[in-house]
Amino acid sequence: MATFKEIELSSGFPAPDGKRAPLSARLPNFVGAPPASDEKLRGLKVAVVGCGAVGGSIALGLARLQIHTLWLFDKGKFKAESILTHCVFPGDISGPKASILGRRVKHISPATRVFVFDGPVESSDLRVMADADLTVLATDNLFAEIEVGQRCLWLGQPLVQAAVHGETLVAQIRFFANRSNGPCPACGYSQAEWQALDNQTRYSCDALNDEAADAETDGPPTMSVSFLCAMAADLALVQILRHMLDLGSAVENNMLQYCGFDHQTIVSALKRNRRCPCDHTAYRQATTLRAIADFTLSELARMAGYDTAVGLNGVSFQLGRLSFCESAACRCMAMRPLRRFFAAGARVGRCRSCGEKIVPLPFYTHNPVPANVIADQMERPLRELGAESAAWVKLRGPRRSMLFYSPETERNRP
Amino acid sequence: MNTRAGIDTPAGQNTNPIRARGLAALAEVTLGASAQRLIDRAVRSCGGQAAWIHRKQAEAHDLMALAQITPRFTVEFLDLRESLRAVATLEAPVPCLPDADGNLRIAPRALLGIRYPEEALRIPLPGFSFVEILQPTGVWHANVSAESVQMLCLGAQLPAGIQLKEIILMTYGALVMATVMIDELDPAGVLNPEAARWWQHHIRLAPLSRASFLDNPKAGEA
Repeated sequence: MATFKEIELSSGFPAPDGKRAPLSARLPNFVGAPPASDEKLRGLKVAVVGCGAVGGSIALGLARLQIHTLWLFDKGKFKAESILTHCVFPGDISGPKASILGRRVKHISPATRVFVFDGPVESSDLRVMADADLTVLATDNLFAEIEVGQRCLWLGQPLVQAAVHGETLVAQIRFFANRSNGPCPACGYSQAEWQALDNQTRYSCDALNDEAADAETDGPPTMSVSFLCAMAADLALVQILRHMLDLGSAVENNMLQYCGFDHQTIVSALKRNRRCPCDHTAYRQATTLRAIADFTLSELARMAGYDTAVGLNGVSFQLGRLSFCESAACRCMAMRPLRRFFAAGARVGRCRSCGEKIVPLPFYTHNPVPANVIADQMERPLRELGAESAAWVKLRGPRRSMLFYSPETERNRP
Repeated sequence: MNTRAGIDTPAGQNTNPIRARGLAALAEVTLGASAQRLIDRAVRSCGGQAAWIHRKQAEAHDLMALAQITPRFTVEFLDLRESLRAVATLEAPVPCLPDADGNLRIAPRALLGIRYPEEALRIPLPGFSFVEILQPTGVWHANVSAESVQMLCLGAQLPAGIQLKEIILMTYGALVMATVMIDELDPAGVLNPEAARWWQHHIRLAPLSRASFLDNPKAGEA
């Protein structure tokens, strides 16, 4: 399973000190911009999902703005045809996109902290994206689009989606504010796009026994030309800059579309689709004073404003990727109560009778777990329930929903 | 009238618009009082965002309506708190481990643990995400895992937002070996390669039933 890697300056890089111009050396004094615009940009933290022709150009543009932190996600590797559209060189072919782009970004902006994830974004931890000020979505992978759109909804985080349609020379930039029940990428999906998502997604039976096995989610490659991709990237950067520095009219929940056939630019409003299957709940977020594992679920519920004395009907808890299992079984089929959290693929134990491993029963496994399933464990610290590794808790309820982060998570965050 | 699950037909009502329009009309089936009570009880603790709550209620209605229109299917338990969870009995021949003489044993019914998580609305999930065979044990099927957990795989590609009634029908087709994948070399794989090989040599035994899902199992499988 892929993990985050921080790109460090290696001996192969030129010495940064003294050779790097400050951002202010070229940053214009934008009309209507707030004072200390360069400071605002230098503090910017952005996650870029998709490091292809569009996402790669956006990442390099952000590097030239010398932003604070950049997370790059891409499970793919450069192919021979990548030369046609991407900012890559022959030596990069067969290399992981995110890592190679990360090194290039670090080369351009040594002061930027750069983290790369050479795996599918859906297998990365939610908490990483929570640290970003905004996320850029530049992938033709619909599965990843849905996942990132969903995460940004939960986090209430702005999402900038950049895409091209090569055949019509169209570049599109959608800016989702993700505030107050607004639209998400899936809200605009047509029947054809849902069909394409279904066709692109395929699983193997191996995934049942191998939690690291991800869905195959690759669709056909995007047919485009390098300059159209670069155009989409540049327009996305303009929208990001306008959003960050409050330049011109608001870009939130708008789609900017440029067509090369007639050089027309159209701006239209993005609308929430009430039939969208994504969860449009925006979670309030808080960092706890001590490790999440030291809290009881009752304490977290009270911190979210629920009166545990009157019950928690409709409230549920999700502890990262941990599941709560009520019952497990072994090969001799003797069911036994488990009633604790466990990580997918973790060993639960071995049966004394048959010697085979005990496996949580999926039907009796919950993620998220409803409060009334775990009612008898609500007053025990999560650490005692097998959740010592929990770094965040997502509490969803009828009145209020909250995301709690552990302070340790703050320190350990990439 | 199906009373095994406490699902009775309201007197004097035509509860089977299915005859006219097929399972597309399942949502129009008027549920019996006890079935409606089961749903109402589950709805009281139903959690999630509004769209998910409504979808769970609609799926629960379809599930109970299925049980009402065919004696083959009975809902024993319903939970709508987070994921939709149900325990149901499916009257269908279920292949079980062959006996000492190598003869296939057939169980008359399966007890199913059905789980429909919220993410199934927005992304395609693996085919083994939805149905666990709780009883009988020792199911001998290429698409049922042979470990202590008997997950039934319904295919390598299931659409996002798949409806529960489709899952139930696919489960029936898979259990009676009407729709089964026994090629262990297929990229999608099989969950029980040993059973897959056995079935390749005994394919003449499949399907275990040619009755349709809506047929009365007692009348149709003499």
